[in-house]
Amino acid sequence: MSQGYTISELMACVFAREIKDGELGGCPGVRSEVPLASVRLAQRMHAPNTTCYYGAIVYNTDAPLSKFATEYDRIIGAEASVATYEWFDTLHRGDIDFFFVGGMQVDMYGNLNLVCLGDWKKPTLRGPGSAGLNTVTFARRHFIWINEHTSRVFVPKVDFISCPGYLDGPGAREGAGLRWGGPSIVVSPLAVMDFDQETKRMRLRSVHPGVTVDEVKQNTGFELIIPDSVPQTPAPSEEELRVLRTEVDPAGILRNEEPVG
Amino acid sequence: MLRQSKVRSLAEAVSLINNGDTVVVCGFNLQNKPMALVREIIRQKKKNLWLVTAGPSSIDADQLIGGGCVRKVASVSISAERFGPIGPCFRRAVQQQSIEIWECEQGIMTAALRGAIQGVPFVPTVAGLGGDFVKVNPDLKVIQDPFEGRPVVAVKTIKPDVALIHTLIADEFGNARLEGGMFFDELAVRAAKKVIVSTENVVPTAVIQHEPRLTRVFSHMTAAVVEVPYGSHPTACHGAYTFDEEACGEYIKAARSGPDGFQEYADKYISGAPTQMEYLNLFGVERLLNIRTKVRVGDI
Repeated sequence: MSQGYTISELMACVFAREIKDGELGGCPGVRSEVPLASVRLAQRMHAPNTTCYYGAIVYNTDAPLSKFATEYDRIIGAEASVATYEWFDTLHRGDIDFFFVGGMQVDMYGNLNLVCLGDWKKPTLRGPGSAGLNTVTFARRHFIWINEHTSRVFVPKVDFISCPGYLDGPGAREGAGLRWGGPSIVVSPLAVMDFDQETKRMRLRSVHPGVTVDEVKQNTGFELIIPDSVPQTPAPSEEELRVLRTEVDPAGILRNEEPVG
Repeated sequence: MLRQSKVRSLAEAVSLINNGDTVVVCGFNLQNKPMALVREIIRQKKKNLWLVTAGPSSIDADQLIGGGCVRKVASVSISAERFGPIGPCFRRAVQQQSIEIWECEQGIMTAALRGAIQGVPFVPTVAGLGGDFVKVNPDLKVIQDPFEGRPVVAVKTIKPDVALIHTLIADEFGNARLEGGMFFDELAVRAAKKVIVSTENVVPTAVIQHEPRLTRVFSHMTAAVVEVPYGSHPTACHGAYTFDEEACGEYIKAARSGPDGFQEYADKYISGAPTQMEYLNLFGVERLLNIRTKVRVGDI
């Protein structure tokens, strides 16, 4: 009965399965419907003791899913109203177990860029700016989600490091004074990637239903590590979809796109 | 002698800002932005400002840049959520290299403002470690923790001359509440030498005294209070109204079309509407009533 799910629903399920019971998470202040849905889903499936800072203004909220994470109505139904810098401090001291983050470029070591394409002094394209991305890297691990899987986005080396991943390989985070953390998975519309322990390079973990390994390779601007056998990303289960659609997202915000499965 | 009121007109309040000042703006993306103050700054043709946004910014920063008021900008992001991934005037200014950028992210900005709050020349933070900010911003230096030898980022303090904030209520002496999202607003008002408060309603001080825990801007910080209904429009004012989708979209579309598009927008909504009433009349009663907040925190 997994018919008709969307990429956003699949992403929410993939992330939810990564969350462990009792963890403390963080969802960003913009574009946060998939992260919040995944936390809510995890809380209802296997992680009832997980709590979360959400959308720059609240801690643990029952507010309905929304594309707008900093609206006033988010505070209604929250367990606490939070000044944004309070959860930045919480990140810096290493209390946050997982955080969601995206970017306009991601590279083979999981570094992210939201600043510019080209040389910083004379950019060919200026981006919005880094938001809190260099702070997010102080989560114990962070989840990267990317809405476009092309070689324009998946590049060998980002033009500006907004959010450090594994920088330029093994030992680099430690050398830069980053004592913990790093990206654990990357989820795109095509596949799930993780990072090889030894080389710290991005590795294909699974391809989404209907997607081939070749398709992922062709749309990635660097050489992904491809294991001998690449499984399919498990589609949303009947129970996951039921919880998502009846409890987490009854308004259908994640379904407001073409179904894929 | 009576305690003096700090209530001023929009023009009087903004005249407290000098050319070349460092101005920090409160709010977050499309929330709680002091837009009436922003428009008045453009009308008064302030120049060479160092624009600092305490949190992520949107059309507030973009209009000040488009209006030619900004020499240098420090903002963690200038976007407009789903209306546009980036402020169009900001993008043009950077790509034409007509604006200086103090590149940062939010942990770095927090440290820079905390330096002013604490009266210290720099603040050490882990924010910025591993990123490229230190390569392009001379006010950031990786130094060694003198005790344990580990690297930390020293962030040079930013000392804003003025903070701009829009609140739901304030009293005539400049006490104001943060009732909705608090964002980075407390840092901005405490870092600045003086605060200009614009507010939906100037209320009797007895109202402020009824719930002192909500007062987060204290009168001693405040230089002027301006009553400006819908003063955050087209962005939201928490507890009063949400953002005006159509108006935000109209701005982004106009600004994206080029400098002429921005100028046409400014001719109509900024210089063409010299008072807040004239500005609001361009939208009409129905539009403004439709964005009102129906349920307040504590109602349910």
